[in-house]
Amino acid sequence: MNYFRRFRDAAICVVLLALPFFVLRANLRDPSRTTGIDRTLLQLSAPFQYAATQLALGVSSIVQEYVYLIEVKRDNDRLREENAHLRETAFKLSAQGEENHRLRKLLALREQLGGTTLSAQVISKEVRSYFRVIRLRLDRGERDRVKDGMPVITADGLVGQIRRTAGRYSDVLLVADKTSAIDVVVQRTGARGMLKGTGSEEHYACRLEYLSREDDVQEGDLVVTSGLGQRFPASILVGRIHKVTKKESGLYQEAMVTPAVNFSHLEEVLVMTAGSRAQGIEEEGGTK
Amino acid sequence: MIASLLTIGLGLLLLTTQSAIATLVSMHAFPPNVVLPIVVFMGVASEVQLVRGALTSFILGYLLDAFCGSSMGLHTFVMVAAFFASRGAGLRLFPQAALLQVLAMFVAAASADATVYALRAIFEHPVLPGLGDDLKATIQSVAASALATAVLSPVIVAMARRIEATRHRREERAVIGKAHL
Repeated sequence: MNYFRRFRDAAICVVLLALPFFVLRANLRDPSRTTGIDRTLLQLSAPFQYAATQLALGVSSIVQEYVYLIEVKRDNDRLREENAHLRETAFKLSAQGEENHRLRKLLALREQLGGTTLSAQVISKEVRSYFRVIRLRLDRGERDRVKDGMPVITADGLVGQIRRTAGRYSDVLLVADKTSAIDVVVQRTGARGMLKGTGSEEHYACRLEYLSREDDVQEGDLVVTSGLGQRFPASILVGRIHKVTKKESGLYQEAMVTPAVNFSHLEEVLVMTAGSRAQGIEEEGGTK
Repeated sequence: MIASLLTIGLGLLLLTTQSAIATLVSMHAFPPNVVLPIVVFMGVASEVQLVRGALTSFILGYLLDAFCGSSMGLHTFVMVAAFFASRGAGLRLFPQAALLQVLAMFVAAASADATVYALRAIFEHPVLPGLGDDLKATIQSVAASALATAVLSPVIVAMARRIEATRHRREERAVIGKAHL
């Protein structure tokens, strides 16, 4: 038994050594010189060869796909970071574009107005409930020869007038302030009235008073400065009528006006330090 | 049987790891033969039976051929031959010290690579890959590959040894169990 076992083991060892040798020889031999034994060996070994190759390919592809996924994750992280950076850049460019647009409009307005104007940055806003701006502070003051009562305008229309100056700063009284009063006309009909701020904390609004009952005034009419009193140049857009109230009796009618300028979004303004050509700016500047 | 399957699994794992690493890092200069240390260990380990060792070496060599894309039978033959050579060289020659083990593995790997070159030279005659063109480059390539194999061998041998040790303990427990009965 022991002898048989030793013989069997030796035979197996010989086969294990000889088999790959002959398979190798059949594989590497010049095809024109292969014998019948070689071809038989190749035919017999082909399925095993196929199975081993498939196993190797399968396992390798699983591992390589895992490695590929790691690479993808790394790429993802990098792209996410790059995306955040690009978003930031795009946001900056967009903000710069908007600023550029505003400044261009302001520059156009300045050229259109003539006279002497001074550009100013809004450096602070006094805000009340409902986030309504009630006062602005500009970075120009006495040192820049800014004085009380000077008109403050933007491309959208009249903002108000300088109320107080101090050193390098000045405060602006908005047209919507309840202490503001401006002589205006309705652009369409030329009806004249006095525009007073309501000082409402809920919305920006002005009241157009002393309008004759006979005057034709409608919702949507534009209201511009009259130029009377020499404080404001004529024809600067102030706002748009959104409600007309005609009382049963009396000499006058009233209208509610929405200011042309959104005071919450102001960043740059022009201060008119000397007389202008008093041209209509509402058409170019931003009629609402 | 289980130990043989585990050993084959270890070889498969090492080969896939090597191929995965090769996609990330170029190992062209120092391509290690990760299967050879297992085969040499089985050759010198007295607890590994001759037939089991030869059969496992055969399968590991076959897998190596499949992974390397070399001609079928090339590494299969070399691995089986390496197993018999290790066993024939004597069990006492394989040192326990890591440094001597590395040296012995370097010699074994260099011999195996040289055998691969020799076989290709014989069967692919008259085309002698490498040898005819630049003998020095071929020797450098063999030495680099053998060095890489030798450096990695202590870790691989330790893993293979652990598999055999597990098998040995299981057999001992079975013998003790039988004795109790």
